[in-house]
Amino acid sequence: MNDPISAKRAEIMAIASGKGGVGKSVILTNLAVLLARHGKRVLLLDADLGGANLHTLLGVDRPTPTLTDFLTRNVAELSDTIVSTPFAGLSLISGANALMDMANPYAAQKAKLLRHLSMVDFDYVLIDLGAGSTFTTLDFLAAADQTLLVMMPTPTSIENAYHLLKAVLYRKITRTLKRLNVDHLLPRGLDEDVRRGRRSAWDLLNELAHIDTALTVEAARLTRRLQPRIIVNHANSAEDLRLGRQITLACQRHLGLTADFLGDIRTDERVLSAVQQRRPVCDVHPGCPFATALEGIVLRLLKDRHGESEK
Amino acid sequence: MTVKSRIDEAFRYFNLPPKAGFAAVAQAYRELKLLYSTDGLATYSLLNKEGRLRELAEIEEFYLVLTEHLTDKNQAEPAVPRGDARHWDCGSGVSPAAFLRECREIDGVSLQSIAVKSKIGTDHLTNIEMQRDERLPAPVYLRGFIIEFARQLRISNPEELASAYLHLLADRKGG
Repeated sequence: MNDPISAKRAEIMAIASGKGGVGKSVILTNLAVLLARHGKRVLLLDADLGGANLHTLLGVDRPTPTLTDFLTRNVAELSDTIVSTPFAGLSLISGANALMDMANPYAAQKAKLLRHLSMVDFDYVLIDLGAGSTFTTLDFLAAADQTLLVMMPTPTSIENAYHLLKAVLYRKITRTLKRLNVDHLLPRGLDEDVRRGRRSAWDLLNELAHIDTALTVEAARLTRRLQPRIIVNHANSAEDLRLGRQITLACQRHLGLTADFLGDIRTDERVLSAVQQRRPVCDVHPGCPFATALEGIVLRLLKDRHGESEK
Repeated sequence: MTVKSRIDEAFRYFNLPPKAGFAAVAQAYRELKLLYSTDGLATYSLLNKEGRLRELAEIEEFYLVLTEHLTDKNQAEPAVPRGDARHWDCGSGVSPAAFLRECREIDGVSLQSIAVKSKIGTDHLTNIEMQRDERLPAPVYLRGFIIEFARQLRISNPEELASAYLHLLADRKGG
């Protein structure tokens, strides 16, 4: 925020979900189209290498080259894999045609990708990630400026979303300790408890803060950087509509995370019809409940970005 | 633990600033009760049964601490001159609910205006006055409402009236 360079850098937003099938990719694609409609230069990155499909949701046929070409060094620059879409201001790096062993790229490949991403000339980079807590997902979430977390009003979706948050936080902690060369400080017994889910990563942070005061500062920085922004999809009943607020409360009280509730989306059968046509919902059915809900979310995102640049 | 630090702890538990009033406390209480209810989707995978029960017990405990604190505070700074005070007499045969309504009608004030001053919803005030038992909130919550309602009507013994109200309510439900 205080760094003049970061003000120009693209805002990197990663979208994730604890489990698949909650509408993550459709939501992200439509957010990208809407942000572009607001005059923003948007890059969509399909990093769900085990199940890439953003090109299909946008109606882009057989895009080449793809992210795979960058990861396998067929092309040298990430910018060479950027393709245009039918929507002004919106570009895509497709994950199509991923190699069968590509779902979990090596750490060096991920680091290179993230380095290149920080250099692209866009206002927003939106990253679609595979569902669940794979290392690839965790690392992209840990590196992103913002985490959008999609869930549904089902116990499984919410349970897995919490697990994902705990896993990101745990990975952030262990990586930071490694970076600071103090990973020997990790209390083994407690670490084991956290990995087995008996204690939370939050307990681990508190414990570390007792061991070393410098770590307290680092711990606070870590949790501040991880402020999940919650989207509740398929929120239809009055009870569902309370869920977003309740999840932010639960995150704060039990995970030590300041979550932010971005919005609810009702079930809308027009989403299915748009996907079948291989077009974004907000393009086929502008003004439908789904498109309206996403427009509300986009206005929130734009307002935050604008507010931040004024500071 | 001192009373003061206990009150501070209760405000922290509800994530409220120490200046929060009755309405904010009641709102936070209601929200947390819902959050930890048995079929609460948002917390079921974070807590086991014991953890959930512990939270629910803490909510009640801290809520009591805060309602008592706020009642004390309000009595230290009376909203209306004490000279004007009226007393509810348990031996008079007038029920607490009837006494509240009577006082209000004598004063010629609407439930709406009391709702604004007390920050208690008009529907709650109506239900209290009409003794709509099935629509009343939980007793621990109701107690604070009645005390505040009575105070607004310059009744000198609001706690006594509230206790009697809850007592009669329990009798009706029990019988």
